[in-house]
Amino acid sequence: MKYLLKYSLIATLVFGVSSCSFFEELETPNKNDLEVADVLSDPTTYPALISSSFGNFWNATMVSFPTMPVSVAAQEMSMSWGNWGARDLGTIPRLPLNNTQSYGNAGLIEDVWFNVYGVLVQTNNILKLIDEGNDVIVDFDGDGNTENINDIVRAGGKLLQGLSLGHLAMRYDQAFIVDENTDVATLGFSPYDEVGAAAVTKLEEAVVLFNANTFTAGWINGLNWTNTQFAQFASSYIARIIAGNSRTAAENAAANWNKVLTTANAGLPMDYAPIGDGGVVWWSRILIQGQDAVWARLSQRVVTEMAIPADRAPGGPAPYPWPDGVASLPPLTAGHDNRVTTDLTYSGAPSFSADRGYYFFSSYRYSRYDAYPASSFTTPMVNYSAMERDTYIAEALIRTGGSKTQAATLINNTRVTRGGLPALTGAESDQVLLDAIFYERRAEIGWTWPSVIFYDRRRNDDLETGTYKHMPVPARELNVLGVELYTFGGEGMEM
Amino acid sequence: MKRILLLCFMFLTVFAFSALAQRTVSGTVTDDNGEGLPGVNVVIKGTTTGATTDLDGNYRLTVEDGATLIFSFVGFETQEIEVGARTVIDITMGGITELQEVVITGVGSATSKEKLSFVVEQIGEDMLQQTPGVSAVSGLAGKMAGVRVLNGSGAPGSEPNILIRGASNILRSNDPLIIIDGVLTEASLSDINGEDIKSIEVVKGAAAASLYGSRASNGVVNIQTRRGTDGKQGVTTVKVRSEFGKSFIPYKPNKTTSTNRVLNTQADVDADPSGATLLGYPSNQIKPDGIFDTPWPVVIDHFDQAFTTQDFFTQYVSIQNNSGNTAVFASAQFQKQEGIIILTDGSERTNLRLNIDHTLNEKLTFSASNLYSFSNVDLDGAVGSAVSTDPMFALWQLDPAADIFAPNEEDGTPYNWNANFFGLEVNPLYAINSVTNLEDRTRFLGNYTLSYSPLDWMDVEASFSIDKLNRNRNVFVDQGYLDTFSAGPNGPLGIVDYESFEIDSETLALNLNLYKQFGDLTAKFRAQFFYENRETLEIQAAGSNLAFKGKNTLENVDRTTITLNNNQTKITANNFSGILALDYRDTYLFDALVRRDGVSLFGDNERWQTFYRVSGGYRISQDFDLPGIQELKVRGSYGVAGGRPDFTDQYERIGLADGNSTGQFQTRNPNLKPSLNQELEVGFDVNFLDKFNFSFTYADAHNPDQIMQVPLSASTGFQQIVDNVATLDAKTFEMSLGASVFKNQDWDISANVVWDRTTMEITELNRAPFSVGPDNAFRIEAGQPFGLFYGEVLATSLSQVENQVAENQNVEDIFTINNHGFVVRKDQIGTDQEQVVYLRDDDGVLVLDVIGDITPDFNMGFNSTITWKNITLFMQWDWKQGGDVYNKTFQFGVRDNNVEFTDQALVPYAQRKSFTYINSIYNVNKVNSFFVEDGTFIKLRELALSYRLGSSALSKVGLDNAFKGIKVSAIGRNILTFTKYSGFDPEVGQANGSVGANIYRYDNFNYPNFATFTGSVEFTF
Repeated sequence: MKYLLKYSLIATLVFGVSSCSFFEELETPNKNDLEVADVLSDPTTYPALISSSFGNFWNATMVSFPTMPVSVAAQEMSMSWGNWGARDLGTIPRLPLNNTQSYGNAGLIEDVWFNVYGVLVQTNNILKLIDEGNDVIVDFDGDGNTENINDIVRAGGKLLQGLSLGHLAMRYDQAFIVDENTDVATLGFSPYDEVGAAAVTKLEEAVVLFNANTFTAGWINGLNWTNTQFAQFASSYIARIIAGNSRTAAENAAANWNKVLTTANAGLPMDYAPIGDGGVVWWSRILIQGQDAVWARLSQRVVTEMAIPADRAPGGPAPYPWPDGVASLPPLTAGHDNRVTTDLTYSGAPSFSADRGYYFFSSYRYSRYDAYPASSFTTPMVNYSAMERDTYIAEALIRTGGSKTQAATLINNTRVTRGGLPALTGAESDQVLLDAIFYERRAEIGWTWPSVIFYDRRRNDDLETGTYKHMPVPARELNVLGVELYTFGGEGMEM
Repeated sequence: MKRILLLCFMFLTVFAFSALAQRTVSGTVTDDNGEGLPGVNVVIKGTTTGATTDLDGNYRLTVEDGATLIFSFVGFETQEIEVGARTVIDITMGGITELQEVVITGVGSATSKEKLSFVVEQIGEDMLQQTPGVSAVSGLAGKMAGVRVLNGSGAPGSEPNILIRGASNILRSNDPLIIIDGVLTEASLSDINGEDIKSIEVVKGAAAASLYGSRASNGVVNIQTRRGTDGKQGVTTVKVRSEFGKSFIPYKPNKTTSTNRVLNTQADVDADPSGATLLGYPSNQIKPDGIFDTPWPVVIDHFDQAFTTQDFFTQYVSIQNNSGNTAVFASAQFQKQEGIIILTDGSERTNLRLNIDHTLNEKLTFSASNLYSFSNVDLDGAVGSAVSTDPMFALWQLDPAADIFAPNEEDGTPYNWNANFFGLEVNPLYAINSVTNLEDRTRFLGNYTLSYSPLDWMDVEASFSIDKLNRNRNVFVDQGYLDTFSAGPNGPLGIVDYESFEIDSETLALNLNLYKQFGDLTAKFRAQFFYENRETLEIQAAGSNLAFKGKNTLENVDRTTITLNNNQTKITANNFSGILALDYRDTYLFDALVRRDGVSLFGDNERWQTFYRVSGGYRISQDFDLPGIQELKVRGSYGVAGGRPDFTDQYERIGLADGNSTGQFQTRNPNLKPSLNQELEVGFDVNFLDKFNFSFTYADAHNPDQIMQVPLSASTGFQQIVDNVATLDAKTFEMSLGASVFKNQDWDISANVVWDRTTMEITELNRAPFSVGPDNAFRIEAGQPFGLFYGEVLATSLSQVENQVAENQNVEDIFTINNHGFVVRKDQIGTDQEQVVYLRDDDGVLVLDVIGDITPDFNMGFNSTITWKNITLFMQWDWKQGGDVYNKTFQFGVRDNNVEFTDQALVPYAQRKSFTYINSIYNVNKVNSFFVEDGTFIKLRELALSYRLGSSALSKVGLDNAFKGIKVSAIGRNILTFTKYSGFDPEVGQANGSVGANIYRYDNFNYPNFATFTGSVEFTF
């Protein structure tokens, strides 16, 4: 009896234990992130995804690595700090880009590549799912009734595809052309001109779709655009990509300027200026550190251009390059471009280390958008100004034999009204007018889309000798594919 | 879920309580002189059931028919007596033996060290309580071969990192599993106090650790605290211990005293009506030669000002009582550690412990261990905040003449925020004084174990554990904060930031132990089910632009500025294990284990994994009488333990922030497995000449399936997958020698030496080589050692720069070697353009190469205890030979010309270098070979001199009625370091990602380790 009691006790104990053993599933959900299934399984979320993709595209192209060092390489902004590879890209003589995964600033080649493809592939997945019959039926116009907005989402998707491919074309020597019909398994790199052409095609498709569907959407932070405005923006971007994708003056001369003219003319007549979201997604590095006197200055190369000729002489306040051994220079003499007063601030001796080269020095910081950092990054951030579009029209008019008077008027919009410089009439030589365009762009839009000055100098054969003309495919990608690493930059190796 | 667990636990408890008593045996235990022996353990063989003799040596317990009693007492030979039909058993214990160490970690049941077939190290109370550590494990430093304890930061409230036998994970944590009284800890060790610790056992190899399966690739540290059952029955012991002393910085590097600027003349002063231009101070103008050799007119030692001698204080009380069936140990400790940085409060911690053991009847025991800890840490001295940089960084960046105690001219508040003349950083004292940056932690550790021994060959145990942490942080910057430089435009408007983090972890262990003797063969078997559930929750909210001054609440911020962050994790695991241990004639030892882990962290297709060990040992000295050798054992084991992936590793991840998806990041990996730690361990242990014990172990670890991020092609739209793609091999030699050097009535001298050497190599990497860690300074590449620094290389020989001259030139004509041993251009040497040259490849691209290695040549520890009558001197030395440190602090110092190296006034005129040269070494902060330093050190970690008054001494002064003993000690910690390292301390490291400071030996403005000198007095009554 005693043993019976004992063993029954043990048996009960063992049973008790085993009954407790199916405690819990070993599946634990990740509550912190989304999955593709979360994101794509419900077509009604696609409009929000298109919206966040515009933010992600902005973030991929406008924060630190994509903008700061490129502007230094273009001699628009100047800083010799090591941050974001700025010093590496600004040092003269120019050196090859360090295209290795171990490079401390590998982000300057990697970040745009991987982040833009992240946007592009997600967009492609959405378009593919719509093509496969996942209709987007939502109350998009807020009238209380749902409607099928497949083509509105498609239009946004095509615009994102065009923006993404366009930026990849302008920045890299080659890239993958991927869209909703791509078989990733057989994918290879295409050269930059083909990538640029693919971008233009996507944007043209976007224009058609936008024009065919009436709607408004808040896809761009702080802006509620109509379909017409989106179409105009896509059209503007075609002009930007065609102009920006040339590597040499010869390529630039041979570019399709007729298309630039028509698309720019059909483009957005006002500034494209998303509202800063306080530094989360929609923010701009160059409007923060790029306007801080300790961090960065307007390149002396541009300061000199804005000075009166007498100031540019040796011993004056604005020689270019900045003279070796001189720690500071006085302010410019009156008579300079008015924007020295309105857009710049004399900031005295820079804190840059002289041994990194006096050619980094400049007395002026850019301060036109000081309101942005002062507002905790919540004011509008001009990214594609009406002036940029106007100058594409002006350049296209000149290069296609169009009205130089109209071109002069477009140039004078800022040249005279903001710069206080003598008006052009159109009677000047093409070169004088073109030089005036590029000067205006350096004076006006270097802090809106920093890469534009790099691309302008590139298509004018005006980059410092030895500057890379485009970036190689990042080492991280080449290593994944098992392809040999390569790079650009250094004299004779620019492209 | 928790409810189910508790229900199960209660269910088991009720059944177990219903067990019935048998018959009673009693008796008296005496020594050779016939005196009753109190405190003798009397245990029924094969069970954990037993009793302890009272003050007169009497015991009483209930046994089964056929039971055998084991009588054991420290210092006496253990006796086994068969009960037979007797009800009274009196015995005499004699034959004093050497202390026999018993370990409980990694084994099925408590096993003497002699019978282990793998290494489990143990440190007892006697050693640990010489200088009770600030943290639970700091006392391990230098005491065990193959175990490194690193204090990467000296900040009060920070915890040390332990590294056992080198790394077993490349990109995941190498911290061992820490168990405290059966609780598998999930958070900081800094909550645990040292005085309560009775013993620490360290399981080093995979074989021993395999019992803990996929949590054990880094070894196991098992901490046991004191219990009432450790004391004599019927005796209450109260211990009161007070320690008070001072912390101070033992070494401060020198800073520069010179500038390369032209000094202001009277004319400059006259020309500046603002008064900001001071006569004789450096101006904006750099000298023509650019050399840093003009003395500043005033040089202030800011380290001297900022590092002060601050308090270290511990008050400890414990009560221990063993009243037979119930034994209690309770303690309270308060510790204040102010650290060494002026104006900071350091940390304050209060710990309360209650350990209870209760024998319900001879078959059923219940034990509970509880630790409740609450602490406050002032983070101002240790880390930066939303508005301030790291104070150590700011302290280094001060100009020699900066007056950091001057008031602010703006509002009269103390510590002029912009005290620097040129440096960009803000006076750290301003931020420390103005910014609230506090952490408070609450921690609860609890273990509740019920043991039931229905049969003499069987017992069943259920053990439920809790580890709960609540940590809150608060940063508050009031309106009117002056530092706009680091705080940005919102700083002056005020900032409020609250962060809360919670860990909630429960485990349930159910054990079945079987024990059987078959003639000369003893067999033990244990089966275990082990359930784990761990959840974390993190919430952070911050805002700025305060409406009212002085209100540190989120209700006071501008709603539009509020940012929110939230993170949650949950891990569950069901694990099963079985161990069989056989021992034949106490001579041939065999042990086998299998463990099966089902863990939610593993990919869908790999959710269940198997770990195992086999081990064997042969006690040669049992079979052969070896002259001079008391014990000789050879042992060998092979085991497989594992390392778990991090929570997010297996998932597909698309970022989510502010209600938006922030982009595709990581693809799912359903095939993600734990990393494995497969280790072969062989060695021998020998006790000889009645004085010495020596152990040698060789461990060969093969760690495949290393978990790491693998980049994906951009065309996938994702950035990475986490996968098992690499193998890390480690080979370790360990030796330890203990000696009881001399012993007589007055003297007792003993010493221990430990030595180890580990080499590590990445033998497989199924992805491209890459750099990782702080500043990407560490290289991961197949065929290379693990722990390499990788960066640009300063040329030191002309052959290295042959590819940097034109084809028609001779390298000797272009380059030469300067007095620092670096290659420079011949046409620049001695000029203000002289600069170092970096290695380049044939395309002119800067070469990145191996520039250092964290791995030491060897580690060695030495301790000795010298007792003369009532006086004991204890010291612990720790020697790390080799192993590099990357000195980022120094590199920033070279950038800002604030280190002694840049001070050219100290150098003969002809050898002075311009700032061009100095900045070519700084190299835009890129990792380079110049800043790799030898991290060799020899440290005197602990020094304690104590005087103990026992009861006989106390009786002479009539205090024997009041006290059982009084111990007075003078204690020094970290008081001496011998090193050539140029920074504060070569014992430095920085965590990055999942990898701890024990791998990344990277000096980056860490809070320096400091020394303490204290006095303590301990009363026992």
